[in-house]
Amino acid sequence: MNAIAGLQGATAPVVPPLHTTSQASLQQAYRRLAGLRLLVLAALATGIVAALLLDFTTGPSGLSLAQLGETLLDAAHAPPALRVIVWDIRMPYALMAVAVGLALGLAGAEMQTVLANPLASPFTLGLSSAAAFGAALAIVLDWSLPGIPAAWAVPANAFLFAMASALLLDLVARWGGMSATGVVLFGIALVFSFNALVSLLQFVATAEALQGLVFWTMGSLSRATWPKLAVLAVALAVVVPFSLANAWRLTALRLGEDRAASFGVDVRRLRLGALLRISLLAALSVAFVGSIGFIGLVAPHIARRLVGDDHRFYLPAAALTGALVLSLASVASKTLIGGVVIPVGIVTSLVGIPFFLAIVLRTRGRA
Amino acid sequence: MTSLPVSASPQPLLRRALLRACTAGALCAAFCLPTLAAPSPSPAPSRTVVDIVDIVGRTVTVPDKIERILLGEGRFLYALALIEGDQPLARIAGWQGELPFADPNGYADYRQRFPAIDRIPVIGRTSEDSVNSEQSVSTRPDIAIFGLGGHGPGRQNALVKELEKAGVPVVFIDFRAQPVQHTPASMRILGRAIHREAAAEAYARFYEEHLQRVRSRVQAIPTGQRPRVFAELLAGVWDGCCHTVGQGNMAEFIEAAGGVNVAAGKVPGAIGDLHFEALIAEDPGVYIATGSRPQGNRLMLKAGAGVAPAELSASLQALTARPGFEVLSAVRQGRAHGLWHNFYDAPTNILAIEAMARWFYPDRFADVDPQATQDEINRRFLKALPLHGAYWGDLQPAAGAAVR
Repeated sequence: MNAIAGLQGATAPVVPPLHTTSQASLQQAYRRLAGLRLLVLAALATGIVAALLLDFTTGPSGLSLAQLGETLLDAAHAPPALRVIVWDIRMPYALMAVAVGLALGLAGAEMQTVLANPLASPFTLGLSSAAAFGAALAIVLDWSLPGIPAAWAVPANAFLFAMASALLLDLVARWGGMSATGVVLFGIALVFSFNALVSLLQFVATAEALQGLVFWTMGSLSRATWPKLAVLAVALAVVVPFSLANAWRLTALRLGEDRAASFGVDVRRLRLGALLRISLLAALSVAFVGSIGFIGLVAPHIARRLVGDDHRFYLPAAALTGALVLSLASVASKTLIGGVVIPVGIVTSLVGIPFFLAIVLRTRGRA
Repeated sequence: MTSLPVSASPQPLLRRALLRACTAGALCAAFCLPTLAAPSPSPAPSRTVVDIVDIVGRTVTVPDKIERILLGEGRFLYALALIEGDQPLARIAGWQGELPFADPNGYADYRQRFPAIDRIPVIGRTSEDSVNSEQSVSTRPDIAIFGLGGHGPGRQNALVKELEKAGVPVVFIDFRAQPVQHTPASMRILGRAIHREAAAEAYARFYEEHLQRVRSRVQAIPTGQRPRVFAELLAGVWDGCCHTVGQGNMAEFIEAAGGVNVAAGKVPGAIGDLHFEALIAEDPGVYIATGSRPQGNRLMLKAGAGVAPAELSASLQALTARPGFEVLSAVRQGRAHGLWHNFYDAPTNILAIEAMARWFYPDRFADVDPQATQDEINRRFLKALPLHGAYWGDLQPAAGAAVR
């Protein structure tokens, strides 16, 4: 699981087999490593299932498992209050936490790779800030695209601006022929610009709009609904196969742009594709639940520590880690203070940081 | 004015402030001040000063002649209007600018009657951060009336010291943090501070009598028999439900009217979000939505100046039709009500308390009519501009109700 092993795993699919005497033992070692990594992925998935169950079975109304089960299986005959709690509150909130976690984890992982920067994430490069500005335009000024229903105005705006800023990042990268560092700096400029614009809007906002905006920027799963969940699930279903299909190219990119190019990877096209996927996932997530900053940055780091740089494992691990952390955060956001919801964006950091520190400290000096 | 040199005597500072005001605020001085600064007759000029104790216990020396008042919250107009007779704006030298945002309908009402309201210098927008110290000092106030924070300068604001250095006494009042306890006291303090003792005393007594009428009837009711109440603040303003108050402001009204606030003991601070599931599990007997007016096409409770009872009811129906609300007993049994949001920062909050008492105990308070109380406030205190419109209401508008 160290860097050397990561590189061996990484290069295995692209480098022709080595015809040496150690080939058999090398293959054996590789298979063992791959098996270990699959095990890690399986453990993460199991963790998500457990967290999801925990999320589904905890709540301020203290329903018993039997009641939950009956309502789940036979909603039509359940008391209305139970039906609303199970089907309109617990299920969409819990599933949304997992879906958003998957999306942000995957988006962050791809972003860190294509921009070759460990600090890159949808949050640190301005996508979340852009989304917040789009949301603020809808909340404060009632500005939205014509033809968008009122209920969707805020997420639609948030999506539009996040997408636009991602495309802008890409445009700058290509048009300016800018290095990955340049793109990161440009992203940071976007963060400050959009934050300033949001502050400006807050300044002219009514008391109501201001309060709405503040709560929007803190992130909340209570905005989850089935249609939003469906949109995000479809987006994941579309994006994930593309991400995985590009896994080996992304792995190659980790070795450097020139090295990747020498393997026949069209780096620009790879970067554009990744940025499109990132912006779709990040923009939808931010649009539906508000700003949740921690996942996109930290899930990739945790994943890298767990499975190394081979993107066939690293990408799913980052997505699964994101889902696990956000699902646990969802549980914490409703149980830390009974009956009250603490905005999940706040809790995520508190839940994620010990997780993160533990892994960083455990592996310090090794990487 | 943060750059003012420290000086032992306030006089040179005041003079400097005046000079700056004359240059920086030339436009104002030239246009708005002459029209606004026509105060009602002030007490006979004498050199005596008055010591008053404000709501936070500070002893403040107040000059005997008050012609220019600086308001730390625009919504202190609600209090000023109760005691300033037919010229409620005449002595306002400057104010925080949140009123037109928090209560656009009320502001528009005043503007129609007193167009000069737009020319009152504004010291900030809707938040404490936005307060401009230099602008505040340059309004050359004789006295500054501040609240405990929220939307205007609070106790810790540097502006307090700056004004005091400039020789301007700062008096704190409060209709917001602990409104039930502080409203009569704050009215009396305001009265003494701006020399409207008699009118302020009259309103404070009026308030106390009405409060006592409610209290005396609910105090004997054991907790188990009190209705459990949920108040959703600014309902519909953001997706998701249940922004509410744990203690202070609206929560005090619920308690005073004999209700049990289901968010008390759950929401740790003043405001927070109850989990929607917790609301369904608690299934309160009474649901109250607050709001002031619709913003664009968003879902919001319409209430306040100029709002027709039917409008209030229609907006309340839309709010209680949000997904999941159909399972709440309060909604099914017609015990969902709407309340003007700004009662949380207005000395007329006695109307909210009486309206709640009627909602909580329809029989016990059958003879208490908050509308009659509003009429009395209009007749006795609000001489310039009466309250008119639906400040509270039910799912169905009362038969024959119209904007008064």
